[in-house]
Amino acid sequence: MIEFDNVTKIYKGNIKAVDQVSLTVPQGSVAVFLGPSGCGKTTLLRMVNRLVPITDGNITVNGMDTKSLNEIELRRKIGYVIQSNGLFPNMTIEQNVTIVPNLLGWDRVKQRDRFNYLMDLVGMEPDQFRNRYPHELSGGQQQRVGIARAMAADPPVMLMDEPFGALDPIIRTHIQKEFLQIQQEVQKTILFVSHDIDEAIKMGDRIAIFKDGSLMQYDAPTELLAQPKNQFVQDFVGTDRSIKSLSLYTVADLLEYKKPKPVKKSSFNLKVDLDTSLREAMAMLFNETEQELLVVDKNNQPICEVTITDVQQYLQENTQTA
Amino acid sequence: MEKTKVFTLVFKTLFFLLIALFFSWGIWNGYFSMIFTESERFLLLLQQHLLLVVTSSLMAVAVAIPLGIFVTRPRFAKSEWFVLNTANLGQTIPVIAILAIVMTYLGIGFNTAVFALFVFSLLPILRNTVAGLNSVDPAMKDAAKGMGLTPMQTLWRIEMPNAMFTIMAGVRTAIVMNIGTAALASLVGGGGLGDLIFAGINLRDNAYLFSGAVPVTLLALTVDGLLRLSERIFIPKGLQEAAKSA
Repeated sequence: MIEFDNVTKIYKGNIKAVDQVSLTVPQGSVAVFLGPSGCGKTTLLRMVNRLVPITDGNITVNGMDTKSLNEIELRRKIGYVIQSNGLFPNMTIEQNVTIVPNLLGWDRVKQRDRFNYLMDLVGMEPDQFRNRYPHELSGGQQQRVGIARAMAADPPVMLMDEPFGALDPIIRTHIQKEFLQIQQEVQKTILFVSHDIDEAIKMGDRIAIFKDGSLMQYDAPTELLAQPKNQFVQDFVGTDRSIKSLSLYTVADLLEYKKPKPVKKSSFNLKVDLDTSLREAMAMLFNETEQELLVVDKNNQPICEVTITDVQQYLQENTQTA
Repeated sequence: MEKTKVFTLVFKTLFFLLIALFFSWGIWNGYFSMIFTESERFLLLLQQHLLLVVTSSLMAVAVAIPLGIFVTRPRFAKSEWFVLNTANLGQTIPVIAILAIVMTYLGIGFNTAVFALFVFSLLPILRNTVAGLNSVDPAMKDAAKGMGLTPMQTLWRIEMPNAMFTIMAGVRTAIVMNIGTAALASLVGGGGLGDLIFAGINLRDNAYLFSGAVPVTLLALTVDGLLRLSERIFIPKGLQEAAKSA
């Protein structure tokens, strides 16, 4: 768990980069810091591992005030991933990944086991990459190694500063998906800086939106899209926020809100299960001339039908205008 | 591509032909005879020459690299301007002038020569150390710091290995220049192959001149080659491969 308590950063010349930010990131969840450049999100992130000294307020990591620890020790307990991956070209992939365990004095066998485990985790063959050098890897592979390296000493907390920002869109989508799977397995508490609202919705359990160093809103993605607190947040999430929020709801969510209609037609061209996101369901409806979808359960038994109007009503109910 | 290859080949052939011509001309005229007729003296001078170069170069490396590290530490960044310009000044003063100045304090002989050569070798090493360390990707240093490397660990594990290409180039430049310049040691009684060269000039005797100058040149080329080879040891393998593939 990470707690920010009235955190403030004032640079020389009385420039407030971060202004009295208080928020809590629960254990094992991902919080995305979102905002335009210069809004203080990176500064706030870098204050956690004290790369930027804090002017006022407190940051506690798992109940420990970051100021009470030696900064070197503190940083070794916090994973750190940056946009340009920052791999060391003079070291092999294995040396890169195990650098923190090496500094902590782990024995060789333990370091090697950890390397093998992490490479498997990020979907790379350990033996194939062990003795290779960063320049031989593609951008996506380098960033995966960067993530493996940040997790090397099994830190409970990870800081990620636009980790996928430098990747091309196709690889980025792919790695985002993989990263969420990894997170399901490792359950780290993660701070994730982004300037991309779509990435934030995809990656974050909660999203914090900043403007000029102040926290505008800190909420779950659905809440943020449904009820933007002010004009800035509303503009930032965009006028298409209801469409964005489609990917956050499943057919099951819709049925919880609305009593299922009994199945009238005998044959359907389109079938979806309960876990399908509304975004996919809508896409299917738009692609075909059909007016309704058949919802089936796990055993492929029909439950009910859903129409475009149902989805529309559901969204309107959930995302009121601010 | 093919054209440049042919051109390089022709140029190289011509170059080596010229060298071969020069040597046969020298040998034909007996200009290298000194090396064989007075081989004992020649070897002594060669030894002196090497000692001058090795001593002054080692001193320069031992001073310039730590100084370069020092001025690139963020805390002492303000001293970089001063130190680099002082070293630049040392480079702009002709070696002969340095010799003259140092001679008034250390007298004549080996020490004066070594000191002058040392001053002269400082700048290339210092400048390249500073340039090399300053060119290390800031993102890499940030990652190292953020992962909990101490400033010392960042220096030795990240900064120095990644700056090694540039530092080694500076060391090589300094030593090769040093070998040529060491011929001037003769002027202050420092010995070395310069003795033969200056004797040749004074006596208008090509045999002396050639027996001194040609070995100095060959020595410089050989040492340059050896230092290039040593880069394979000093520069991390990953960087060598990256440089090759780039």
